[in-house]
Amino acid sequence: MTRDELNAKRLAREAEEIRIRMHTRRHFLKESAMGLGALGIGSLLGGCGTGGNGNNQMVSTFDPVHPLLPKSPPMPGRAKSVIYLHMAGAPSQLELFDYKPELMKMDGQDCPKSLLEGKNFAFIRGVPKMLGPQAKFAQRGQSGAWISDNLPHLCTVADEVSFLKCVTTDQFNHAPAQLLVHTGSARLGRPSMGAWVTYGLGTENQNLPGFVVLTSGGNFPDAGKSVWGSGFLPSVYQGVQCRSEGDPVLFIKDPQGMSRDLRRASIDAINESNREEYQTYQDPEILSRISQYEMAYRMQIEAPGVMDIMDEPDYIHQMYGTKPGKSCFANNVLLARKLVEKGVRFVQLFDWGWDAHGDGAYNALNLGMLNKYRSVDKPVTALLLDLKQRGLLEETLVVWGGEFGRTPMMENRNGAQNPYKGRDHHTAAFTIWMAGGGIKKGYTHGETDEIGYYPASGKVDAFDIQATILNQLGFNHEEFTFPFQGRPFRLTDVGGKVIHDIIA
Amino acid sequence: MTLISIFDLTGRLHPALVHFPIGFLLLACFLQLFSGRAYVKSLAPATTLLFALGMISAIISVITGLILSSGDDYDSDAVNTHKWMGISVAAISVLMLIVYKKMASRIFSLFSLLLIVLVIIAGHLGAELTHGDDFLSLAFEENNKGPAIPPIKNIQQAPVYASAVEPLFKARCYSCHGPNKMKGKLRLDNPDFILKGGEDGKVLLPGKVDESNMVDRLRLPLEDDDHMPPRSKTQLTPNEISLLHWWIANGADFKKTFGEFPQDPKMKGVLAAIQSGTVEVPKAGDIPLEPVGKPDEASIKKLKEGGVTVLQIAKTSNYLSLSFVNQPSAPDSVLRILPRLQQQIIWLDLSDAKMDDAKMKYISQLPRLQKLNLNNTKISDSSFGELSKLKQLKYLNLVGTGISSKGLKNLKDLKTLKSVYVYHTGIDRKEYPALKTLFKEVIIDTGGYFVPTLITDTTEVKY
Repeated sequence: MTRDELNAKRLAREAEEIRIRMHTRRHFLKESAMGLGALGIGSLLGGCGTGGNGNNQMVSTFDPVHPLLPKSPPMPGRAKSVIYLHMAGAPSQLELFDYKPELMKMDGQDCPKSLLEGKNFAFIRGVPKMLGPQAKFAQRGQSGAWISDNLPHLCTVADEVSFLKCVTTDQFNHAPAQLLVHTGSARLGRPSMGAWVTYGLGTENQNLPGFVVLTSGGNFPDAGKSVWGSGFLPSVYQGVQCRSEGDPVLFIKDPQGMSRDLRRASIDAINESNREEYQTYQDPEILSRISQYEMAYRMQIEAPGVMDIMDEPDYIHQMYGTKPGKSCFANNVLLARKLVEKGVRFVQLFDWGWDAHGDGAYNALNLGMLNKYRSVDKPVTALLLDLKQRGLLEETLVVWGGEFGRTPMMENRNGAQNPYKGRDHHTAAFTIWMAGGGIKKGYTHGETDEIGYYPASGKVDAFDIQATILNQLGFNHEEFTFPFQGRPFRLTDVGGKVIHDIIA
Repeated sequence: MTLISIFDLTGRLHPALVHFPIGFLLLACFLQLFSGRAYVKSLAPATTLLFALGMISAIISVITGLILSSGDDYDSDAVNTHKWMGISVAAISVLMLIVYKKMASRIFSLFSLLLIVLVIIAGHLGAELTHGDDFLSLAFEENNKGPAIPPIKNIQQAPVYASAVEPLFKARCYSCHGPNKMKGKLRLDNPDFILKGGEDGKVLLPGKVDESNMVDRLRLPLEDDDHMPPRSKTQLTPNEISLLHWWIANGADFKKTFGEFPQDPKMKGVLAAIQSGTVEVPKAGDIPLEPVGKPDEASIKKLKEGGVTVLQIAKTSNYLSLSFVNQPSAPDSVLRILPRLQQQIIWLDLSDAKMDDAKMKYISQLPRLQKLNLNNTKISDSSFGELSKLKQLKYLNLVGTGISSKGLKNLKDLKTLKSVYVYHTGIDRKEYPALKTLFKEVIIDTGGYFVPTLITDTTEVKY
């Protein structure tokens, strides 16, 4: 036997060993231990008539070969797409929407003991001082919604919006609170809202992803990419993060010297090898991967056009206040409109930098935060008006908000007064607004107490908002489930009530 | 805390306390029956103690049970059987404790068997009182989450009470306010009882919804203690509440048919949902309420092959929504198929497609069309002749087309029209007032909105 033959033989044996090892470990342990157990339980329970027939319907909707084909919702939906504008870091409701003249009277006084007993704050220690509103307020539009001077443009479209004044959460740190808002759980591992929606509805435009994520503000949200992840849903439903600067998706252009045909041929080869892999392991994730390659190939044609905001006329750029060539929130907002126009289902924007603690000038309510307000006010207003004039607002649900609110107390980090005016994280009551997509115009739901500390009426939580968003898209959130680890999971877990009061 | 409330509380402990005699006595009987066997030998000395504990707890249960039944919340017949069964259990356990060991164990075993049977029957009857007599049989029912009101055919001729209200009460209320259990001394199982009300007075005043306790309770927040049905029970849907509301507001008549009640446009959607047996209320104006037959599968297949996205507007509906987003060339060969689905197509999206006036003849053959997107297409004023044939049209998007206000006026007779988007067309903003007087009920959006650039928009605060 020559040396080459020996090597070849050895290689073949190694490959066979690896194959067997993978097969045994993955398949024997996973399929037999969990699979058989689940099979047993499943047949036991299957006979008990547990089946809400809705569940079984949803189970059968995942088609690994065409995971993104458009699907009908269970009910006629009022909205076709969603633009979720998340101000990561949590903006202060007390400087924007929740007008509290009583709090002004208490400005500078010690916080009453009753508000502190049994409370945990992220940074406040001991007895902080109260901090009055750092903005001038007025009632706007016919609806008389309170909006501060910090948002001079949004004031002009107050009558398009429904405010939720008493959103509550039970998480006072950014990452878990963001996860709760977007995945329905403060812990990692659940699919995000956009992933659920794409799983349920597919994507209308076969050349674009169904769920696009755009970030601005110089940082990712604290919870990282999990807030647009697919959790236990097939990974094809995760958010596709695009850039607003340079190429929208990294490496979207074919490299120099690579023709379209060569690209096609190489994708065909990869897919062929993946299909063989699938024959061996029967893992549906491999099929997802094949369809992702296919979509990437199609995206190469469509995406650069849709993602390029430069083909918009000048007056649209002026309307949104974009900064062409740079990465900024305004560019992302304009891009979001273009994507929705082209049939993208869920567009999620994260703008980082709203954490108004006042431990530095950059995050002081009366200094750095003013720049944040300015950076979103004009683009968001332009988005509502632009969607409206294009006839898109009727079927596009726009949501604006953070992961929690800010305290009526001035932050005293570790007991010492912060150098600038800022507020700590506040979970009991904050403001989120929604517009379009079958939501009432010029309506305010809920009211906080005199100083904006606790909800007085109309309390809602993240699950209620998720239930409402799903409802507008045509889902009953209680029946929209995915089977995982032996039980059906849903976005709203065991909570959530549709906020019927804000639905037109 | 008054003496009466302590008395009351004692009674209410009955459902918890009864588990003690059940456990003690069954275990005692078991030990007695198998006393000869090796595996209970070491436990045999406990038998007397268990009989004693069982007897004491049985007596306490009887006393608390008598107190509980002295309230009027329960049907006396059902309570009576349970009461005498319970008393027999207590009596036999006293007897058994007295004669234990004085009697041949053969004969004593017969007593044990009798006691086991009595404990099981008494326990079962008691459970029926608390959980309702359909508690066990519910396990065999396919789906009790669905609509409480079965679908009604010929709704105009159907009596409101018998075909809708009564089934609703039966499904959602009888288990606590029925013949077996009368919480709050209220029964809802026949018209006399319904009008009589409960211990808090009348529950409904015909014609006076706002003073009717029943509707109030249904509408309280779920967290409220007075909310009905209680949190843990299946809730009424908004649809069902609207129905009750409407029935009471119009006199709560027990005989009249739907046709004889005053017609209310707001009820149209609710009635349609009841008619088809669905839970959700279709929002008036979103979809046609009339049911429609199944679309022609062959035509749908052809459209899909032609690149058109064809979707039912909902999984349960035969109405269709079509989109040409993946087929922007919209060739005649594909458009020609559309009229074959003219009963079903209600939404049609031709945004950015290669549409022109000549191709509009296919569109005008879709009489049920409600939503039509023609934005950024090459259509002009010549298309309005065809467009005006769409008598059900509600939403029309003409953004970025070559139309003018002269053409738009052709649509003034479309009664259903709600919104028309004409941004970026030949229509000038100055013509808007004239159009507005012509289309009083229609939102005509000429767009061209302007967000001024303030000094603060381009500057940053320095710090």
